[in-house]
Amino acid sequence: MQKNYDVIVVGAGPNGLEAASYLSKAGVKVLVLERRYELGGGLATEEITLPRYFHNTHAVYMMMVDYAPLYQDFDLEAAYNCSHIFPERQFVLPLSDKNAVCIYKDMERTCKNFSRFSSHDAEAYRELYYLARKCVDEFIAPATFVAPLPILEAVERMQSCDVGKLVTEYSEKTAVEIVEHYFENEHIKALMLYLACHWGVEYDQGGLGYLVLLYLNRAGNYRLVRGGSHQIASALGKIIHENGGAVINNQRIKRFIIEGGAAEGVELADGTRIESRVVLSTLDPHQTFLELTGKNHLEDDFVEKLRLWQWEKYSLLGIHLALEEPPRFTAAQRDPGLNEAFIYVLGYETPEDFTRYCDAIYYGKIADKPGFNCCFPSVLDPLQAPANRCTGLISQMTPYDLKEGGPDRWYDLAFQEEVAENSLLTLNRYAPNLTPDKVLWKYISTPMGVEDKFPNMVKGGIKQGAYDPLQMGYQRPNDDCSTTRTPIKNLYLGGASCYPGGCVIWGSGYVAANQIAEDLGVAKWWKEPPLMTSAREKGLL
Amino acid sequence: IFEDRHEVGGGIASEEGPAPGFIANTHSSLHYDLYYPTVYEDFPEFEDRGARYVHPLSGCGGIFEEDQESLLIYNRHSDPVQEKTAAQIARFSRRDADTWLYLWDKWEKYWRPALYKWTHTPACGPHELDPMEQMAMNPESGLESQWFMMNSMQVLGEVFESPELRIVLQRIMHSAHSQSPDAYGLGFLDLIGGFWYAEMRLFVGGTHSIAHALFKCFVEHGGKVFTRCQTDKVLVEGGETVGIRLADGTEIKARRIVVVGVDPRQLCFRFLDEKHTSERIKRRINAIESKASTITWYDYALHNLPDYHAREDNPDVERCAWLVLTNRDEERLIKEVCWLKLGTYPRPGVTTMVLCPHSIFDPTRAPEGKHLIKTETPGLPATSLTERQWLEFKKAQAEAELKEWSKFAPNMTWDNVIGYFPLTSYDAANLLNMSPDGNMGSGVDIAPGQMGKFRPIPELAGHKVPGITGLYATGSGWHPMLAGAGWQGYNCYKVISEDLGLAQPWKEKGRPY
Repeated sequence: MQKNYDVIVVGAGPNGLEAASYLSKAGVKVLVLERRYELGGGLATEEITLPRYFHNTHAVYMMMVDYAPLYQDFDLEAAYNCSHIFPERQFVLPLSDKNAVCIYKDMERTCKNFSRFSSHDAEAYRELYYLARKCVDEFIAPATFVAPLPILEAVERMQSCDVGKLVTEYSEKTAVEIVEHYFENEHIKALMLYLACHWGVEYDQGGLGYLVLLYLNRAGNYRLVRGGSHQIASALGKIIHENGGAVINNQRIKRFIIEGGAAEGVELADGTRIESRVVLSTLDPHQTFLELTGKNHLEDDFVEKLRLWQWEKYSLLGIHLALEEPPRFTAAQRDPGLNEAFIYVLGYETPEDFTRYCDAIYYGKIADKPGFNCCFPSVLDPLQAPANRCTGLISQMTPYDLKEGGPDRWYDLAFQEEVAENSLLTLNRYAPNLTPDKVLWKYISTPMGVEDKFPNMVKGGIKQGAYDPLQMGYQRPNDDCSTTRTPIKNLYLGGASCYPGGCVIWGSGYVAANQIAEDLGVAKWWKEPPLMTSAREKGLL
Repeated sequence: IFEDRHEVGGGIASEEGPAPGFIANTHSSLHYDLYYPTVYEDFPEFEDRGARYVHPLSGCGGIFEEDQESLLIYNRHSDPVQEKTAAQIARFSRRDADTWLYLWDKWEKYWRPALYKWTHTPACGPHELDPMEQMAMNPESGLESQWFMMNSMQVLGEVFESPELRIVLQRIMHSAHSQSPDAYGLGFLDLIGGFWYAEMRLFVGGTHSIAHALFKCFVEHGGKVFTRCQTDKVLVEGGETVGIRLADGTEIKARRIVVVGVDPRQLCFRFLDEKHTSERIKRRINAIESKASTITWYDYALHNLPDYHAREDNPDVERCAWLVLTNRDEERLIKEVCWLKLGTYPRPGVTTMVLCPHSIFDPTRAPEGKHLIKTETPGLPATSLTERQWLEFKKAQAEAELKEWSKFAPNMTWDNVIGYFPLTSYDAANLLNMSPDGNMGSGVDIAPGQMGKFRPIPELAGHKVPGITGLYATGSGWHPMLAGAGWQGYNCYKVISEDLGLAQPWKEKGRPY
């Protein structure tokens, strides 16, 4: 193995691959070291139930396709056969009374749907839609791809223009406050609250209101990768190798080589030393610093900050289904198109259904009446299942550390089956044709399974750490590392634990590529997207 | 490369099927030093790109239910002169131990070199002697030419006196050819097989690592790969191949050649219009036997390794890479295959189990402290049961396998199981190459008339299609036999390189194959 590179990227997840792609195309000699047998991290598509049923076992819903620069920069669709499906009906909340709340990618159609429940809410949605779009377009989206500013400087800049003030004002609010402020209908409130919170915002937590605006804006902008999420990872892997870089799988790293306070490469578990000018870690902060860097190279107060890092309060249970036929929702009797929606939210018909479920999670329990989101990708993309058959996914918030039995209880096959059967009953309530005999096979990915698969998804978390106001923005993961530079010279951080966060939004990998290119004095072949330039000109970035 | 599936690799595939973090090989699983030697030599970056492997302590062995006695054949890399293996065999027969050592010498001097040449040389004509047959003509080789006509019971009965050794060899070689020990013409393979298994290697991270490494080498040399692109037709004009048409109608021109890597049925009846192949070829392809290479693989995610009774006798049994769990009924496998030929799975119980504790050799295959073990049992062709019956079979088989396994290792109960991934011929049949029987050899059984220079049929064995220029075919259904070994692709390259005047590294390097 070649023993000298410009940049070693640790972890071939979305951000690691993104950074490696940009840098290798810039002529930088890049090596990506990946622990797993596959590249892509959460961008996984796997044949784990029955043959030709392809399941996206982690990331399914792509929410930043319209903003993330890499899609255009690498011409992913035309050059790498990497395209997306953008369903008309984005989110549906079927109701027991056969109605359904629906969010379309077309705002006016959403308003029309909402008006069946409340004309007030239809207008409120229109108002919130434009407000959220302005905030996302002018600040939140461009800021996703630029290193954060120190808090005081950011506050000062935000107060210098209208959109900044607006984002600041909403950031103080909780998800419940925003939803209650705008909407009156219980069902609409339930869906909006779920959308605001399901990526990790606690419903009663202040300080993350800007994420609520982002998620409500994104609720009409989700896309499915044609052929499965792994297609993107494969494309980026090709780009890296085409440009002289390399991704090597099944690697175990013993430590980062630190000399004189600077990273100089990595040492593998077998003792192999690979030198580099830069090490970019996309692992969680504990692995990056406490395990691989070593406390002897770190200041005490920095170690203390790492110890204060909070993991996520819940994980996602994934029940992957090989179905004999697609679901036929009762609610679709009035609108057959509902059977071709992207994401269904089931079991949370009122805000209380959702908040009660969340409260139970925080106590380590799974409520008797579960709610979740589910999707049936092959309905939209026939490549993902055999002809006339269907893939399904139930994605359910669940505690990692169960009150009864702790995390190890997730290994109990009977318990897994019990939880899954209960969730399938909920699905069956809304889609009566999906009786047990229609489930040909299922694969249950538990919170413990998430951690077993991805050791940096500690406690089954999907973002390498909680979304907490003290762990976001300039403080993600802390004020020493959020720009991707770290206290260790030549060691960079660029995974979901770093600003702006996780969920395949392509932020930290892009920021890291920019920082490293600048620090190495490498000419960037890519141009800043116009939205970012505009925000920069307004003084927001 | 245009590939129908979401991943390159075909049968060199791995999935986290048993449970998250536990990596199962979905088809090709056991590999040997004989696999990919040319790729390692001609592409020095192959290993760097991820094709790393480990050698298991023991390549194969068995435990016998009656008294839990075990017999292990050690890997050449841990037992270079086979003295440990001989000691194992001597526990059952001193004479057989001596025979083993005598034949090991023959393996090293004659059998292995001939096997390397046979597997890495394009098929000779049907009336010529291939490298294995040439070797057998040499009286020094230790092989007798009549063994090529005899069945395993005859050959092994003639060579070894120990039923235990014969039973182990017959069962492990069923994994290679899927035929009964009383199938004529394969006896010599079962004899060679034990030595072949002593050179087993397992790829780190799972078999799919090979596909990744090949893919990376290919892309770095300027190749392009398109997954999720199903090919519909090979375009032929005036007897010349001009390109392909994808299922979506896109036509892609090939300036020089098209190489097809599917089974012979798809090649002749789907990719090519009927007019392009002769009636004789079509008749012969329709007559290919394809119901034997149908097996059942289960991968179990486990908390703990099996605690075999046999460990008291020899702790190494848990480090055996292909461990047969059976009894001393030497006709057991024959009877099982008879039942399978009747289209009935012999219940209660399971057909003779073999298993590989992958994670003990390669910790990347399971989360820290946990384990992944693959089992294999001879199975029915996919066409024997309905889909619903197969789904029931899959669950019943797991119950039956655990019951069988616990006779040898009492801790093998559901409490020790985190998850399992059942792969049957029904599953394999969903892959176009293996349809309709779920035949692991691209629809071509290993049988005397369907291997080597005759595989899949003599007219196609040389990788060309008579009457069509610029079309080459390869895959597991081609010479020399079923294996995820890279042989068929290498041989196809050799033929192409002659036709197109490309580099011939084996000649430049003086390599005999």
